[in-house]
Amino acid sequence: MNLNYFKKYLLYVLVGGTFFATSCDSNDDNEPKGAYEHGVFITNEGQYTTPTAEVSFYDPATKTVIPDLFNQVNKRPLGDVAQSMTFVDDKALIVVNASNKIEVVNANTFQGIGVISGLQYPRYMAALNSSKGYVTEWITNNNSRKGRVAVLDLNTYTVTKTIEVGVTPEALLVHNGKLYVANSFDNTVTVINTATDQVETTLTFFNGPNSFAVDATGNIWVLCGRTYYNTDWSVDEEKTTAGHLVKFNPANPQTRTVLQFSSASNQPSGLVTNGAKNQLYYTLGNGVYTLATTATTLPGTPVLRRAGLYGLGVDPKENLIYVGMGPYDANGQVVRFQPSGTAIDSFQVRVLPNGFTFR
Amino acid sequence: MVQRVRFFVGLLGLAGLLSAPAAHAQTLLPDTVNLQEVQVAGHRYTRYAAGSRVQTVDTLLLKRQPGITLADVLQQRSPLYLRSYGNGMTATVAFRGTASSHTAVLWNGFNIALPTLGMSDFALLPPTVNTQVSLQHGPSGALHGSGAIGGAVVLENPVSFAPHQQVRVQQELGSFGHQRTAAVGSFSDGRLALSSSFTRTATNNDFRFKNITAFGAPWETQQNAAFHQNSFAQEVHYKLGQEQRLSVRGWYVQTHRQIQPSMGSANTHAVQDDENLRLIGEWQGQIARGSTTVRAAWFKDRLDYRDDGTLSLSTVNTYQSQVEHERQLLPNLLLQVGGEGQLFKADVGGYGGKTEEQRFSTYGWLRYDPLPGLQLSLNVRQAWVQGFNPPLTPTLGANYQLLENGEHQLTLKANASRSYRVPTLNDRFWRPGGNPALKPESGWGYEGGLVHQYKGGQLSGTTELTGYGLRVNDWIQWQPSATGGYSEPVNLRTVKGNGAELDSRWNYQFRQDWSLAAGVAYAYTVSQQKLPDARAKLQDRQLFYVPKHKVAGWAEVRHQSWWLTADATFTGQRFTDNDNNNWLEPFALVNASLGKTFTWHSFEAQLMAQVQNLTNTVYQTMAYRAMPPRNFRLALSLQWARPGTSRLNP
Repeated sequence: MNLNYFKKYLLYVLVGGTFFATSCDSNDDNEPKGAYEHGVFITNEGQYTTPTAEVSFYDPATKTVIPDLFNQVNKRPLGDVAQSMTFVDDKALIVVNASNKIEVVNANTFQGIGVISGLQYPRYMAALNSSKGYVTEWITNNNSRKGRVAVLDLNTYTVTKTIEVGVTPEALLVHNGKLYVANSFDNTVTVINTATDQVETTLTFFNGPNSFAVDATGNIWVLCGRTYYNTDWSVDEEKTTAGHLVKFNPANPQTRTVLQFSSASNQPSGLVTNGAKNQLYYTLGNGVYTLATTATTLPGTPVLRRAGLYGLGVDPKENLIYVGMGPYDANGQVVRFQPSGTAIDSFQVRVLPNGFTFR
Repeated sequence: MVQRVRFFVGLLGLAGLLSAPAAHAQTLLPDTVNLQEVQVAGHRYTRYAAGSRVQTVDTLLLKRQPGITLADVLQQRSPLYLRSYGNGMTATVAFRGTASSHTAVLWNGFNIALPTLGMSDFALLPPTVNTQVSLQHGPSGALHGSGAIGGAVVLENPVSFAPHQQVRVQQELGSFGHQRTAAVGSFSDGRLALSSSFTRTATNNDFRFKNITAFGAPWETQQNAAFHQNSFAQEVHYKLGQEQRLSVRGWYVQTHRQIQPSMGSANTHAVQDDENLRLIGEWQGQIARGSTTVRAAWFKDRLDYRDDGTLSLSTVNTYQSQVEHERQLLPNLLLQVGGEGQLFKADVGGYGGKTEEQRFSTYGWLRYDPLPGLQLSLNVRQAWVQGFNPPLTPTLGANYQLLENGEHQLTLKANASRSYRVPTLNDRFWRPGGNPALKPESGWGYEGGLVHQYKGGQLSGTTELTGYGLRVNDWIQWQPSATGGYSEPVNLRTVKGNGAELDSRWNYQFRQDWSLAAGVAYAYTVSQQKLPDARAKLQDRQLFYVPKHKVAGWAEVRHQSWWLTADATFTGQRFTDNDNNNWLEPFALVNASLGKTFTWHSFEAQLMAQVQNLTNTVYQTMAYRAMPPRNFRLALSLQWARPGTSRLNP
């Protein structure tokens, strides 16, 4: 890190801290919370190597869309590749992967209030409480080194500690005082004690753990699947196995239900649940598949198919399925579906919608 | 997201951007006389380009600043829009609202576009001082082969055996650590002609810019944008007899660049190393009542990219040969037939191994002047590519002289031409996604116009007005693959465009030792996607980075040994996405230079001061890539020259 970056970093910390202090002082309960208090937030990656990431806002009640919410409110681009977005109380934290930062905005007004910088290929975030969060970092984008989890102080917007995990960590989950980290290039999940921020244990699953869900009974589901390549970029047939969906009891992680996919040619990803947490959804190829948390087999047919399918979300209130699609260099599209898979309507967002956050 | 996809898309983004500067001086058929310097172009294509718009770029800049890149020349002396990722960074050019891969770049008859990406980075092309640069606007598949869908940039080094000896050295210093050193020399005794050129350019590019992506738009110092470039060129021409000549040309350019990150993206310390070696051997002789030329070439293009997490190595060896024969069938009928073969041997990390591809094409060009004022050309080319066949590409063009009196000449011109582009090696062999079964792109263009030439006592000038229509089918685009997880190229789009171009250049000798040369060029460009119309969301929107309006003007005043030059461009709004949601505001850019020549016997010294971006405009040609503010350069050159004596007939 050079001096300029360091200075900028300090500036952000200072600005962030000041804003936070101000907002604490002035945010009385009787003030209106803001125009974007409730709705669907769509993270659009944008075109890699350009700061064209954006967050789109959709209000299901009025069916209004604001495709470029961040820029509209803050009068500047969000950054390069918006990977994910997490709400912590009245803040929204947007992880901007190729800008190595997390933009912190007021969740109700979307006004910027701080930046966490100095990260290296940050991916996903989870919060323990209003003042402590975690973010996975790849460190490199070529799977050549172990990744890490950065411990974030959500009051000062600083990194307080880093914890080494496996290679290319993706999703992470806070559950019952423990932090679970999916090491997606390995076959492991790192378990971290959130009181000490020390690695407690490393659980072995199958190749490519990439996403988590917690069901209504408190069991954790982990979705595993990854295509591995040889050095000549042909598929490594030996290492690339069919994916797995695994349920385990966090109190006894060796008690598991393992559902194996039938083929290694496509790999599953993007595990989410409905609001009642009794139904799971994931993507495989161009399809969205769903199963009950009581199921003992994987579904054979998808609930819907869409060419160019990219992001997946399920609205917790009505169980509507949201699917993001798009080319790499033009506006993407979001299509809403009934739980049965019947398309309802669609709207245009920005480049490469990869995820949905409902609030 | 799959990292590999992202890297590739990034590369595509970097390279896949297009743009189009044009040039200078007007061509009507036989030859072109550049208005500024005595510069008779011996274009091998020009005779067959009736009805099309070919312009010679003012190459005075190349002479005054050896080592300057084609990117800089076109920026300062052409109406094309140059898509530059920063000062000295990747810069591409597109004609008539097409993409940069739709510009063929030929060097002494051979296409030198990078076979992997199918396009040329004009920042990697510092032509030698004797290079003639001409711009073909509009499709010309029959003349220039694959890739000439929007137009072509033609670089030629004409052979001259005029006896002379000359040596020149130059040193230039400028803002942000800019340094340029040049040493060029040439010699001819009438039988042997030699020329050598070495140039080195380096800069730190640590200029200040306003970071509009950060909170509060702070001023920052540009990081990771330094580069240096060495270029060495050598030519040897030898007359075997009165009717035979042997030529060897070599051009080696080595460029080391840090890759300037866009504002708002993390600095990943990206570095790109390019090495481009080009060797051509040529034999020309008068046999069988015509002129026959045989050429063989070997190109080696290395492009190595690395950043904090990525290493991408690629080397392509290209072997090419051409045979052509030209003869005068009748006093008013000229024919050229020829054929060429290309063999690409690519060693590219992304292809997972060594790959080869062969391409062939044959062509016939006909020029017929049935009446004194009427010139026709009919050209046709058929290419064969391993695995598939591009379409037959014909061109039909005509010039008709409407009026000629002592001073004025008015010519009507019209042209219809087909073009094609073979998919790039990346399109065909990249893993995963590359599709060897892709169809070639093809296009049609139609144009018509008027040329007015004036030659009075002290004033002379040419004005050309052109209107055109253009269509490109099966335009290849990378998109998320049908099975997910990576991207793949598809013959997706149909793009239609039309526009108008106005070009006017004048010379005025207004007193004994005062002269003025000036030019202005304007391009109005509409380019829109017609297909696919899924969700009808991209139709009737201007393609990204195609300004509707672009004007370039330049003027030079000379008085005795002094000169003062200024150029200015105005570039209209450019959308930065095909949805037309985001755009760059119009901007104007002005450069100026002042020079003086001191002469003493056979010696000459030249002192030149330049200011670039005189008005200190904040602008970008590619979104979020900072460009330098006002900056200065000072150059001193020393030259020794004398006419030589001929070993042949004096």
